[in-house]
Amino acid sequence: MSWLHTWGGLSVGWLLYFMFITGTAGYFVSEIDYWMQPEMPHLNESAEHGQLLLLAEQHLSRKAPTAKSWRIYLPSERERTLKVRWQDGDGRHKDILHPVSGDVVNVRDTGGGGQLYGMHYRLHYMPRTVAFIITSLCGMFMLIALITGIVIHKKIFIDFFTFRPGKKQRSWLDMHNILSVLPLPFHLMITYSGLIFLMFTTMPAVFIASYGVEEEGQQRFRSELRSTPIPIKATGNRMSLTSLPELLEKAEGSWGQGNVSRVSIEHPGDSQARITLQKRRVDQVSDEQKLIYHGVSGQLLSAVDEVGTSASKSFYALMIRLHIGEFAGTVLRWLYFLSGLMGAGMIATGMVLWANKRRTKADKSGHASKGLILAEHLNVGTITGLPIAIAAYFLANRLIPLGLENRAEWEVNILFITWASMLVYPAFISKFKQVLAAIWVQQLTLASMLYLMLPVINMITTNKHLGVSLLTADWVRAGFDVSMLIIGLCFGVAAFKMQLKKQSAKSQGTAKGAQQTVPTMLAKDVSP
Amino acid sequence: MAIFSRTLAAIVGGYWLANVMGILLSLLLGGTQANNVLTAMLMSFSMYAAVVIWVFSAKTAKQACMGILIPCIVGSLVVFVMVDGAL
Repeated sequence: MSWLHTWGGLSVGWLLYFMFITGTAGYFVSEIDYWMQPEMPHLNESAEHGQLLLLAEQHLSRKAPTAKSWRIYLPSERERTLKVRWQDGDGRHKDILHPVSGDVVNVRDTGGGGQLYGMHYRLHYMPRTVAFIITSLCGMFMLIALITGIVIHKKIFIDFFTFRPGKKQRSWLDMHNILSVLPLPFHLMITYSGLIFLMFTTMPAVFIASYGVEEEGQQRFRSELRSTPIPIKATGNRMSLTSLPELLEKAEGSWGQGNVSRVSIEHPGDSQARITLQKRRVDQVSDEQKLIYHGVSGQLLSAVDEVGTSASKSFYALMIRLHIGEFAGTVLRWLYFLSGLMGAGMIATGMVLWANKRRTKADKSGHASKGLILAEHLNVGTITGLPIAIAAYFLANRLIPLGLENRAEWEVNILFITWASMLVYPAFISKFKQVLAAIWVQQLTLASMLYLMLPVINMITTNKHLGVSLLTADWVRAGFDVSMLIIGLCFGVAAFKMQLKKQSAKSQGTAKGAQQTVPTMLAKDVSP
Repeated sequence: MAIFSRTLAAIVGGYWLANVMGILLSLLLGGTQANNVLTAMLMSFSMYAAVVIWVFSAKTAKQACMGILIPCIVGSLVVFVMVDGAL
């Protein structure tokens, strides 16, 4: 069990750390998006939702009259703009509209928070399916590491309250245990639901056995699952759409004012058009509710209410919703975020623990294996290197010229180039007899500097900096800048403590001692 | 070598067996088809995890490999017969 926990955890630990960090950023995806689009005006007000539907419809019928589908996202507390998406022969498109005038808001070409958090299951530079399989496999390793971890711990509840600081190895183990046990329900939930999320890609044989390999059967499966009507076919007869504000009024009549989050229209302008209104979920993991209307007559076709459809469906839906956490209000959202960081911290401490144990032995025998050196380098290059890369991603958002082709892609390239440099750097520099502790100090210092620089660069490159955002009560942008400062300070403190430790180890004349110490403040302070 | 064969048995064999058990479960449960399939898919991950942990806690590597291989083959045969009849 212990062997499985140690080696299973280690083998995919670095990728899992990446998945936890980028995934955790996802809990603030709208907020990160908003910061990464400084062109977006700070919006306090929005027109009435019925009015907005008309504006969106006007925009869509001008821009995409023959699209296969339209989607209109009404503003909410977190997403203040009116968003429209449509799908046609060329693929999917999106426009952001001002929630009062309905004019298009032109924002810079950026991947935003969506690109950042999407990496936790989509990875990058590879087909989706490959990424899904890799991330699911990592998820499976994680699940097994969690289960074996629980089994190893006979004294789980005692360890829960045990922290012995300043005792090197033992402190690391205590830290690892606290970070694992405290948010254990979160870790189990997020891992299991993550696997479930991708199960249609990773476990296809199970549904193929019942529904066959043909697309037709699989579509039947999907529609049975989602209890949505089978997709409709366009007739080609053009007919004008029924009044959207009227449908909105009907829906709000039963769900309450402002509780429609999305209006989707299939085959707009066709005589067989279909309109679906979806209920907003606020502060509760409730089941999905939809109202489906005929697009021309406005007649109610069906009211989808997943409550009590079946145990497995409810469980599946619950898991997916818990994973995304879209329903979470501010407090719960921060809890999600902290739990995610603790997950990353659990992985990081586990890997440091692995390396430290072997380093102690290696120093006694005077021989460090290649595997150990590699793990030590990967540890520093990932645990501090990834947060540095994410800071670089944010900086790239501000510094890459606006007109550059594939700008959004370059933001991501910079993230990965930076991370790769941080991974290679320790190997390169260690040729010059730099001790590992020094590399940790350097990278922690760099992380600290980059995060502290973010609000400054923001001030130089945009007019949405702290001086403005605080005065105009633009709390989301101000919150982002302040969070970056706090993260920068945390890395600074970690670097400082690490430096002190390194010096005290040196002054005691134990040069070897310096090699085994790894920063006291750990990756739990890493970026959003 | 023992570790390699166990790892292989756990990852590949575990996946195979999880699928076999998943399919059998989806065919044998007594609900609607979509629900059965969904339940089986949801369960398959816990089965995978259980198999992997069993592989590493079996006494010998040989025992672990055989313990996976035999149910995989038998299960697959049963699945082929059942699916062939069903489709």
